[in-house]
Amino acid sequence: PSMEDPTLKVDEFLKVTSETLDLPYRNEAPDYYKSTILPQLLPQSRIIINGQPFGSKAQFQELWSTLPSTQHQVISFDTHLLPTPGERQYIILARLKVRFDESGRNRFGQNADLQPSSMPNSRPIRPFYSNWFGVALTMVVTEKINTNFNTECISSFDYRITEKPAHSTFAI
Amino acid sequence: NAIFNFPVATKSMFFETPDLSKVAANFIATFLTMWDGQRLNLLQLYTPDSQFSYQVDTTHLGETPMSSTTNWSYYLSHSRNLKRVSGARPRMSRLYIGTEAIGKAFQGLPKTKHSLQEFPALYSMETTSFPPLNGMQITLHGEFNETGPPEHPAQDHRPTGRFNKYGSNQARGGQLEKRSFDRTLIVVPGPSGGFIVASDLLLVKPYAGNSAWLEHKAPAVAPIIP
Repeated sequence: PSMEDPTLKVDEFLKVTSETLDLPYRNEAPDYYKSTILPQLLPQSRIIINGQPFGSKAQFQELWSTLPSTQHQVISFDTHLLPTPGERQYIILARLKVRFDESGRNRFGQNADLQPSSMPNSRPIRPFYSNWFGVALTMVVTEKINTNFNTECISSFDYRITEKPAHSTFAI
Repeated sequence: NAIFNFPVATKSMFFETPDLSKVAANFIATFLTMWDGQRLNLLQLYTPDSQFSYQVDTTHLGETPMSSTTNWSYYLSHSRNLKRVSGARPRMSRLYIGTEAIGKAFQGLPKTKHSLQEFPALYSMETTSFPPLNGMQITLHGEFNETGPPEHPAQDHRPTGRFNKYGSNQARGGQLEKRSFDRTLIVVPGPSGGFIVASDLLLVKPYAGNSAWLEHKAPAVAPIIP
């Protein structure tokens, strides 16, 4: 008999969700853009970033949108499926690396004075990425991910930067 | 501003409630003491449904100089890094369920010494409730020193059928090192007022110190929100 692998979808789910943290801003309405950041979070999920809690999904999306551009890569993960009543839950422990654009603009293309740093119609300035930081990410997600990634299914998102490079302009 | 500074002031310890802070801190202190000492005594916290697995990621990140002689042989054969282990059978064989399997896995890992009590700043932790099981979720980050080889090194998985008393390459893994780790535990109330570990996920990685979660004394700068 073939052995079932309940972890099959988790790899892709991690990729899809970490990519939402890196989505570039493409001149859509700012509020719409913010809503595309980790939309899989349940509205009242437990969100902790570097040991600080966020009261709501919206507050987290708001804060994340103020960051410069980022690039995440999932480099390791493991998961357990817990037989919780009702929907079963995956507990996931992942290691990611992340780097931050150090060109001096946030992801809306604004510099520290909130001015666009390029002239209208000029070519966009390329990001200048920092060295890699390491992240420990713990998530609790429902087994809904086995059928659909575009659903609110993350009840806990704990993101902690655990390694920082020796030299970077971007500081934590 | 958020352009050159991460717009969140780092806190090394987070607890969802004051009660959780006491319970979790005591739990982890006892857990690590037993892990470093009589590791099999921890099995009283695990049930036939408890799950344990560990993953190793050897990617060196961070400012600590890379050691040229790092050796991971005690961990690699049973590492459950699902980015690297594919196929249902290998994935499920590296997941330990129940006290017998978990006990064997515990004994296949090197002996260790953590220093949470002596140097708490070397560790960071987040503790939240885990409502589906009326329990708590504890995530711990930090370091340990390997103090000895495993009680029973894990046997190589190669299907040669040849039994090497010293576990093929494992015996030559000898050098003991300092490592960094992340560990997430789902801890739920047990039948007689104690605790049960429903899920235990351990990630072992190269030593990187604690600089990433050291709290800065300067006040956090408010993020610029367009």
